[in-house]
Amino acid sequence: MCENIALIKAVHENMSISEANTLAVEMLSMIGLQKIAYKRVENCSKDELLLVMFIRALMTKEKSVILKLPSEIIGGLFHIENILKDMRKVNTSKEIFVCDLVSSKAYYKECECHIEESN
Amino acid sequence: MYLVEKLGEKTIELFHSIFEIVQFLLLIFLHLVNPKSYNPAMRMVLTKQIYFTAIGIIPIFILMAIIFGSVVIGVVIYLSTAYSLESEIGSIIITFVVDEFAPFFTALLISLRSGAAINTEIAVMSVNKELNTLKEYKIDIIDYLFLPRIISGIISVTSLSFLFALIMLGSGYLFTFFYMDMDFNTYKYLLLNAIELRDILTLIFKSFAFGFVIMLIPIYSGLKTQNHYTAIPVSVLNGMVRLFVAVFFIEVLSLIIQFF
Repeated sequence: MCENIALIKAVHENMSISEANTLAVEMLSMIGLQKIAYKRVENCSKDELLLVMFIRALMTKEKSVILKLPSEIIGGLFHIENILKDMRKVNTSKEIFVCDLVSSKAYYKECECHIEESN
Repeated sequence: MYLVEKLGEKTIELFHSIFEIVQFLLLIFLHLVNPKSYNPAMRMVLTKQIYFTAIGIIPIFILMAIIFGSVVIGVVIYLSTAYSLESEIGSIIITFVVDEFAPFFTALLISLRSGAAINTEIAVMSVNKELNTLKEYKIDIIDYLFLPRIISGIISVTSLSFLFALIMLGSGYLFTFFYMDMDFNTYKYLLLNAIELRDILTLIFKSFAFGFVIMLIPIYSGLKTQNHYTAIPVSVLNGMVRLFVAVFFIEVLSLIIQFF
């Protein structure tokens, strides 16, 4: 997982692998996922994979991160509130957007986020 | 009319695939000479690839070089003495081992081990859309995936060919010692007098060419995999056939250049 996250900084900012790995582990530690830093995809849960994808996206130079249909990765939205809470623990200045179906709106009601509907 | 149509279709297909391969080859060369391609991530993959391709194979490689080398050199020496060519034994051994056997055998071994693995790896990545993910993150797949494998192929085949030749020549001494009662110094000077710069250059050029195609063809074949898992074995099968044709073609071409 760590290598997967570190790759972005190593390629786009020429950061050394050791530095990029340290940064990746730090980011994972913020949400208590340092235990999966050196695990492979098959040894991680779906929630962990989504969070790793999120951290990887944070490594880019883009100003915002868009999560499109998270349920396709985690297989359901029953615990989306916990996942969004974990995401909020990461210290970032980027804007985070979640794009989901109107039918899933109810799952986000308890979450600390601004909900906007569009056609 | 049907036959002409079919022939035309096949010819267009052939030219199209040749054009695609040449285009891919040029792209690889452009990235190979571009210093920006060598970012830390690429260098890390390169180090890992050299380890998997050249270091991991060393124990079995040495064993095969000793067993095969001593037997093959034994046959060469036996035939040379049988045809009263004792005075030419040095140059026969050098030509056979350094120019021909070491690079060709190394190429076959690396093709079977790493060529098949890389073809499968790229095909699986292609089917799983991992290549698309890398593109989404603006990671150049040529720099990150292909270039390290190609460079590692060139480095590994060249260094292993040298190793194979050295072990083969070393194990050949055992045979000369027992069969011809030749002492080590005589054997050493026999080889040193026979070896020329041309032999070393032949080994280097052939190893470079072998290393390049051993990685390039499986990568290209893996990239061309259709988007379903059942296409992976077909891709590996086609890739390996193309690879063996290319390896034999290089071997024949080098023989023609050397001897005609």
